[in-house]
Amino acid sequence: MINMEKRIKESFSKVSMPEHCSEKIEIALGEEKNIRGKTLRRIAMRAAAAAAAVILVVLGVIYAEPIRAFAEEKGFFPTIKTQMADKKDGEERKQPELIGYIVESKNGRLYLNLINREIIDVTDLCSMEKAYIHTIVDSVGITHYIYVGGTPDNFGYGEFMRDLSKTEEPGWGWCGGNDVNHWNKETDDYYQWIYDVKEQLKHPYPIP
Amino acid sequence: MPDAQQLFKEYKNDVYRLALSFTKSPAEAEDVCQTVFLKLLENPNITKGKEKAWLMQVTVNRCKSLLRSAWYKKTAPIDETVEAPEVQSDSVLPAVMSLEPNYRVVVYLFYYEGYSTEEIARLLRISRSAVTTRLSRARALLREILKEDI
Repeated sequence: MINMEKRIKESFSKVSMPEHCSEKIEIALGEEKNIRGKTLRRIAMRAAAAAAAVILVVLGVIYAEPIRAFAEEKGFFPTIKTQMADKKDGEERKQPELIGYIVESKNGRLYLNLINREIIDVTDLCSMEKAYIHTIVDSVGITHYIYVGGTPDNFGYGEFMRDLSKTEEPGWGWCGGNDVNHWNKETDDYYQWIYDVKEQLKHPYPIP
Repeated sequence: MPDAQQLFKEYKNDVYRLALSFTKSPAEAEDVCQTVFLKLLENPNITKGKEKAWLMQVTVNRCKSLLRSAWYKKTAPIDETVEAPEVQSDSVLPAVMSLEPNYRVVVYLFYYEGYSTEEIARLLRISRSAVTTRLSRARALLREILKEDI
């Protein structure tokens, strides 16, 4: 056994990233940082909100997760408010403030809270196999797909963004639900409704 | 978080090996690596000291997503086997790579990375018993392939 472990280690230690690949990625990393930094920072803000969702789940917020997504200052959702935060790297950053719920499980129903306090009862519009997708185009032309899947007892939701003019990369926004990863431990796979989201969006996202 | 390029230099081979263990295809592994490292730029708030864990998790997620995609299933060449850059006679890499993805990944994580079965379970999002089962079966298969007692 020890001999085999040693041989496996030695064998894998000889495997390394090919030079051409390494160079390509290093260049890409430099270009992404310098050229598309602005776009990526914006996506990073959204990722930060997703991280907030994770923290809240960990803290024990199971149902009606009060996601603080943020949809920037445009206010897609009545539950989100941004406020000025500190300056970092010379850039003023805004932080999402938690003031409500994006998707809420209440009295056996599932609700999606949207702009202008519009509330959509999505209980019958989605299931463990099927996702409901609400589309919003923001003021700068980015299309946001807000998807919800599951049941009131086991739901998930998230956001995928696509710039139809293709000047910006597609991005993954906030997400939440009983399990922000939308992962079915029993089947060791994503929930089926996630695949329906992919199918409807015709895009590899939202599975990151 | 340290600079992305610094993290790339530090962990590029770990990410590449893991991706290769999953995909068995150098080309696919390279694509996975590019995606994973570019994601670093989208996630500037990774906890210091947790960068490798983050990279490994993202790599696992990306590979799982790739392996289950219809596109991959239709196009992945069956016999695209990884040959070690300079395969030596005592290399067990071809044998490990001949295993199913689920087996070779746990073999890699357990024997090379030195992860515990619990850590592997968390990373792959499977139960600990599934990890031990896969390891046990992988060992049995390797024993058969290599005709050795492992």
